[in-house]
Amino acid sequence: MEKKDIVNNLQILGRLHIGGEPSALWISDSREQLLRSVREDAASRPLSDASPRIRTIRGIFGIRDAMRLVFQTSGVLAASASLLFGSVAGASAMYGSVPGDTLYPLKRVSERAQIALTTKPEARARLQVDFLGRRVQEVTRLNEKPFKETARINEAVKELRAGATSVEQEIVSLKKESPSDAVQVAQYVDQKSDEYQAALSAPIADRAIREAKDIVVDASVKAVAVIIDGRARGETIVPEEEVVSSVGEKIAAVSARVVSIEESLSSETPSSVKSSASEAKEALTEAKSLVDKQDLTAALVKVIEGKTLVNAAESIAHAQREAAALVSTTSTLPGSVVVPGTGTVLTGIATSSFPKFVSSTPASVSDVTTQNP
Amino acid sequence: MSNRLQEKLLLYRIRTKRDTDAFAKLYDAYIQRIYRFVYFKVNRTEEAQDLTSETFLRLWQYLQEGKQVTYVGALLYQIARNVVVDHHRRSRPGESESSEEELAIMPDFQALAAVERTAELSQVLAAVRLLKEEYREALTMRYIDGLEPREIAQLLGKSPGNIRVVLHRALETVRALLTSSQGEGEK
Repeated sequence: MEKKDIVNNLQILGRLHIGGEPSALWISDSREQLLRSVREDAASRPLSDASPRIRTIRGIFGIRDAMRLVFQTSGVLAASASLLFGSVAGASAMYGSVPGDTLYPLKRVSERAQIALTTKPEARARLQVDFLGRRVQEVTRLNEKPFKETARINEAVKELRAGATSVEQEIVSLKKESPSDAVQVAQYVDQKSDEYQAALSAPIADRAIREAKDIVVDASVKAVAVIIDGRARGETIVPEEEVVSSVGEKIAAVSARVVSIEESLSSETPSSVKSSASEAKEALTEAKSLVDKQDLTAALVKVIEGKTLVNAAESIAHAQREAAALVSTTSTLPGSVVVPGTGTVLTGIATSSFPKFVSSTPASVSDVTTQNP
Repeated sequence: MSNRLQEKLLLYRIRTKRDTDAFAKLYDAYIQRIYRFVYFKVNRTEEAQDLTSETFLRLWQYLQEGKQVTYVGALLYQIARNVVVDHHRRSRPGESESSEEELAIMPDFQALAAVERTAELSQVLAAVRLLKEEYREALTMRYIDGLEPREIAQLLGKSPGNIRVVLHRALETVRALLTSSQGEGEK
């Protein structure tokens, strides 16, 4: 084939999808979607003041063009007017979206873009921590909905876990490049995790919230471990009292969960819950005494041990409560029989005869509010 | 007013007034070229669509950060390149390879089956896909997007002379690939 034939074929290919011609329908759909998200983003960002504006003009046009444009007053005056009187507030639907919403993938794409455009590793790690806060918000939002959608809540918890992993990875890679920056980010995680835990204030019995809280506590414990390690290696000058206080907070957070388990104990509580809670209490007492002896690393190990035991106790207690709730619901239904002593429910009844009861999963999509908060 | 000056004005409006209509104009001007650029790197329509959208979203974010931009076209190609690299890092190896099945279900390809030139076109396409990235980018920009060597040079940060050499070598390579495949077919 001659060169001119190759060129000819290339030109024909350019007009075909297989040659990389995008579909017109996709172009218009994608344009609409993209502009919707940039409009929302534009509304959520305040306009810059005059001096960065002039710098912008210089950056784009060069100094001569800049001078000319600065004195072309109409545009500048209009911009000033919008600065003075324009309303730039307004909730962004994209930023308020949660897993399962149409705009949610765009929100995540936008976050990925922000991360990719952040060149400083420390700033990137902090950004990941901030995004972890968004994941926490998403879990709480979904959990607060009157009709709980288990699949979406699970997805939100999965996103939260992935977010915590990203934070951890950023800190690990930062530790290799700049240990002191890694410690600073770890401090930021520790500080933010208190905020995130407070946001997850729903009853701990709620499985999703329990899991989400655990992810956040886990992230903060790992962050404190990085701080302690950094101090031991002399990579940071974080005062000892500050680290002691951080470890103390972790002990207090896990202790509160032990107290909550103890308060809910009853004669029907499985013995494994009681023993796990009691072992967790012991581990936390040891952690306190290790803090008093200034052995912060060993104290943190004990906190992790206590946290693991608390998780186990909460999981067993939760499973037992769910089983009890199921038994009590089904035993009230006509035709169901609970086998004494076993808790086993014999049903053999038509589901159409069941009275309507609240399930964590909606019966159909129409049951669910799809509007963004 | 030249295209470059028009683009500068659009950039100014985007950065100082968050003017989304100006952004829409940039989108309209570059969408096809950027899509094609991405498409030849991933070879899958859906991936190319997602990554192209991500490229424009990143452009918007970049412009909001107030960083200096001299030529938005070059910046877009650079962002697209980074987006594709990030995508390859995220996806499993081999996942983005084009498959014969995909080619078979493309409507154009089916329509073309009735046309005598189908085989020739698919051979050219296959040869272009085999080219090294530098050659493929220059070739598609020149003969599919219809850009002048001077414009390609600006977009890829090279000299026009260098681009002419690259284009010449790229065409020679395609010709050699086609000749060798023809020779094999005749054996």
